[in-house]
Amino acid sequence: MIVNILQSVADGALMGCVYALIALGLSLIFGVLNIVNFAHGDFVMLSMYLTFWASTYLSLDAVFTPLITIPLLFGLGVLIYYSIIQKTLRERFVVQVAVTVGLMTFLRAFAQLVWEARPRALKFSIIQGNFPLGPFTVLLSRLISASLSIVAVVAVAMFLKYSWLGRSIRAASDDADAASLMGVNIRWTYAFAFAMGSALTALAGGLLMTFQQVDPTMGLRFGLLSWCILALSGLGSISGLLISGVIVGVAEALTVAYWEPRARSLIVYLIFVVILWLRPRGLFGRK
Amino acid sequence: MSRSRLVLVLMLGLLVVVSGVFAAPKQLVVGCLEPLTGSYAVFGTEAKIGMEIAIQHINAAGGIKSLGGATLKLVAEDCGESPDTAKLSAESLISKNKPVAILGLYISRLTIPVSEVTDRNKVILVADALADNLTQIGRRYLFRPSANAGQYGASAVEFVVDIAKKKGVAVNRVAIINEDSSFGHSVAMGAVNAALKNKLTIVYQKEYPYDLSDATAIVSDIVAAKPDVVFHCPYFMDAILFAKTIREGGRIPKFVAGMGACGYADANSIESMGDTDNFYTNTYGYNPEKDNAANKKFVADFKAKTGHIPSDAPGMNYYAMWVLKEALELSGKLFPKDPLKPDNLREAFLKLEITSGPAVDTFPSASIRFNSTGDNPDAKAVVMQVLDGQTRVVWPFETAQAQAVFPRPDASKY
Repeated sequence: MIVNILQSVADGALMGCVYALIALGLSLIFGVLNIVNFAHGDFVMLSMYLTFWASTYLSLDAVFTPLITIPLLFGLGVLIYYSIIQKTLRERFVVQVAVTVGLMTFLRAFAQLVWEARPRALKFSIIQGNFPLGPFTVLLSRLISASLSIVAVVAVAMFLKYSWLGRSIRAASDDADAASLMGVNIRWTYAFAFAMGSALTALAGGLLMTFQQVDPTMGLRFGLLSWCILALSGLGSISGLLISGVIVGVAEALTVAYWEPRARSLIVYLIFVVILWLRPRGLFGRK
Repeated sequence: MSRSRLVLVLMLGLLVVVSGVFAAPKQLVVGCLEPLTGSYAVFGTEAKIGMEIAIQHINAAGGIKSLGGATLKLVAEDCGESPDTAKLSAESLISKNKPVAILGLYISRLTIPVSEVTDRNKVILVADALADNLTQIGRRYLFRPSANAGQYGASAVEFVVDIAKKKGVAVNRVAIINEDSSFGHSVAMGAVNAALKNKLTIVYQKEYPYDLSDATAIVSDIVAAKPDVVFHCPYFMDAILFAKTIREGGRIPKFVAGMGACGYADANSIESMGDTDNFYTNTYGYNPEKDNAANKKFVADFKAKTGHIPSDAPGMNYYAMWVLKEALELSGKLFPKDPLKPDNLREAFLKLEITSGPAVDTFPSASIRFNSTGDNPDAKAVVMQVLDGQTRVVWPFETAQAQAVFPRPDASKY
């Protein structure tokens, strides 16, 4: 029994690292632009389809497709920022919500039009496999996906901390007017943050496709999960995001295995509500 | 009456007679209510193609002869994926097009609320949704030609018991898992009853939502319970997720038998999973390998349109349309004055005894008739297995087109 529980904890923790990577993109967009992007999960869905496409037509393994999909999603992020998001930054909250919900619906309809409603999956990935670790079985695809997610999250943290552009993003996040007076190009910084948030979903999409399938409606779930992780973590702490992702992943896995699979969302959103109630700025938030 | 008036009246009379003689046969509208967008669109779009081909074949064969060669016309409406959108689309379809009958829905939880709308409007609903309780809620105008969900579950167990006996393989411990829709629940209950009847020990049982994002926890639990065979009723995306997770984990049971598991044995799943899909079985309410001209014609036409053989949803709707055709024929004979009156058409459905023709040629068993609840007591399911990228009928043995592979060659010890 203990072995089974620990196995579920490990499985959930590995999945949680990928969730954290998805939530990092959302955190960047929300933290810097202060915009509630309801379409974030659908960027993950789109990335998974692009992974499927790149893998099928270019014979690339899913794990290598981010080399192509990251620039694509970055470019798409810039395009969407300048064509849609920028115009809503000074609008009321309800306008921002309407725009991102519209974008979410558009991306879903677009995916259904291009790839049809049926789920798509890749037949094989070089990172599929397993190895025994004592009484446990470790799935290679989950382990490598979690490891790459952690590497990406740490790399983004370093970028934000040490690069000039990263410091600009943090400055714009703290006080856009003061950052502007210090010579930061706010418009470009915002565009870069939005594009970077979108590009991170390309990596997550590539990793998810090594062991999952994609269908046009699955974006909503990733979007809502990201919001829960962000609320749990709070803004400004990247290690907090990782820990929160792991908490959500483990809570989900234990609920599915030992209580009731249908209650997995209940538990995740219960955590969300309790954190908002007891600690509105999140467990690790700095503002 | 002046002479000119007399000529005019005679000419008008002649015109009426001539127009009666040369009038084009009537066109009857049949409604298609299927999920054409959203998560279930994968089933709905193919179901619609099945109906379209059936209507082409019926019209090409002379339409409804007892109704003067009336042809059928399909009007499709997207029922979406929620009960509310399904009810609205049913109301819209009925009020705008006045169909003689509606076919479809596929999803049981959408069919139940829509059947309230069709019953209220006295419109025949020929359902392709399979939850057992669908025909137990007192709907007067609902008919279901195919086997129900419980029969799907029971058939999967009976197949495993039969093949294990034939191959001399011991099967005692079984796991039963299903997605948590009313269909999945009914299938699992059918499997549970059949397992207990066959003295199998159920060592693990679980229901889960089909949009599960990770199956690792459940697969680990199944492995820990050490079943010989896993009976599984998934939808589409969860079937892919489970099959991939079981394979990657490397601890593969003697057999995984799908039940109502389109995601395991449909052409689309084979395309998505490749080798991973090999040896999975599924129960079907349609037999694409039934060896007769009518079935071959349907399979060929469907393949020409989609590139693959028809699965459950298009198959069930193909023969359902032919069942409607037979009911209209019978209603035309029994009630020549008002064959389309809903109660007359319902009466015709209840009096049907179809034992020949395309409806039965494409049906898994030898006859189609309806009891007072709208179910077909003669309905049966077949089992198909994925063998080298093709789905082949492997059970019942007397209609099998290929030998089942059992147990799985890649099965491992736990």
